Amino acid sequence: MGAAKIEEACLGMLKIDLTAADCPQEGEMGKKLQAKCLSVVSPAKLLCCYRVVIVVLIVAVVALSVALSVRKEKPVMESCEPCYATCPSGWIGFGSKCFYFSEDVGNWTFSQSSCMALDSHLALFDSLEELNFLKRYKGPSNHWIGLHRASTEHPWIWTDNTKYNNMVLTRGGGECAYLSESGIRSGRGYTRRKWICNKPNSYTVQCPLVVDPG
Amino acid sequence: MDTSRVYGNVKTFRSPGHKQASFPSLSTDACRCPHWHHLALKLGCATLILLLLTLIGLSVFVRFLVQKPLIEKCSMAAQENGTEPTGRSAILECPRHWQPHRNKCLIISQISRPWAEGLVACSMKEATLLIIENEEELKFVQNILKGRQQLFFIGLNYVQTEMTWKWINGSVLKPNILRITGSEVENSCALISHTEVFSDSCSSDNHWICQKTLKHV
Repeated sequence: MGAAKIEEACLGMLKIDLTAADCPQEGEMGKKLQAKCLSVVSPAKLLCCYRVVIVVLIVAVVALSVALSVRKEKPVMESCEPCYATCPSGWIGFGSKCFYFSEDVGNWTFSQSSCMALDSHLALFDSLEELNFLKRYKGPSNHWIGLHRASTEHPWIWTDNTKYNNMVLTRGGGECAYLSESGIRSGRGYTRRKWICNKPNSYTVQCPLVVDPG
Repeated sequence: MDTSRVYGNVKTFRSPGHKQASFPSLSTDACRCPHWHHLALKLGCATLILLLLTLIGLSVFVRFLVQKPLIEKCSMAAQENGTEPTGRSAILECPRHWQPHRNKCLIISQISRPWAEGLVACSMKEATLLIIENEEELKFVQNILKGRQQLFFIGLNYVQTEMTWKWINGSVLKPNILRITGSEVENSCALISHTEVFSDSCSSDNHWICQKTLKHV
């Protein structure tokens, strides 16, 4: 009788387990399987996508950084090449000279005096390149330069008393030369024009060495 | 009979036990994976966004550096205004780019040349070099020239044989209209500035002023 009771209890227990296990097992199994499938496939694809995109972005960032560093280096080097930035304020450097273009007007003598007051003289040029630079830079106004003669019968001389080598022919019937867009022209010295001064190259300083010319 | 029943029961017990054992392990694995993936996903997204922002920043910076030298190198080219060919009109109006003054239209040249070339250039515009007829007109012209640091030929030259200044229309200069600073010698032509009238060599290069007289058609 006791053994029989025990056996019945076990059977009862077993029956309950079976009932509970079967129904939820099937339902949940199906759901779990589906979830597992989705999770297994999707994450892999997503990870692949992420990896590709991240790698591409990293490469792009590195490339840009390199480009940036290269470009930063160049300007520093370039700024050293033209070593004539030591012209005084308001003056323009070209080659080994500094040039000043006046805003005011005056006769030729006044212009030369104004240049001398700036420790320079009316402009003289040594080459066609220099002349072309002055022509381009002067704008629409005509400017006195340091070329003059006693009369239309006399030869042209510079303000430093050296003889003009007729590198470029002058035109016009005056005693004082000025720069027009067409070239070197002459007019009477009492007329009022703008002027160009220049300082010789001893006033410019080489970039690597800071030497006092005095 | 009794023994046979017990055996059958034992079989039934084993099979549900086996299934139950596999079930918990499956559920455990399923719980762990999604959580880990979720975290990885978040981290991946954050990294992605960070890289994207860095890329944009660097692109802007590089572009800025590239443009800067270009701006410095750029120089403005001066444009020369070409004057349109002008026909006569019934209405008293000046052509484009000409400055009206009473019955005249005035224009200032963009280039400088000798006096004779200025005269030719004016005639090609159906005009002549400027003739100043009275003091009021002189003031008007000099007012136009304020701010221009240049000299301009007008239609006045020195006639050596008659020892006098003459306008290009043949009339003699009256002393009360304007005074000329400078030499009175052969080959002299008059230049006007915003303050003075000078005598200069006719073969020097200067800008000039043309005038066109308005007429009824």
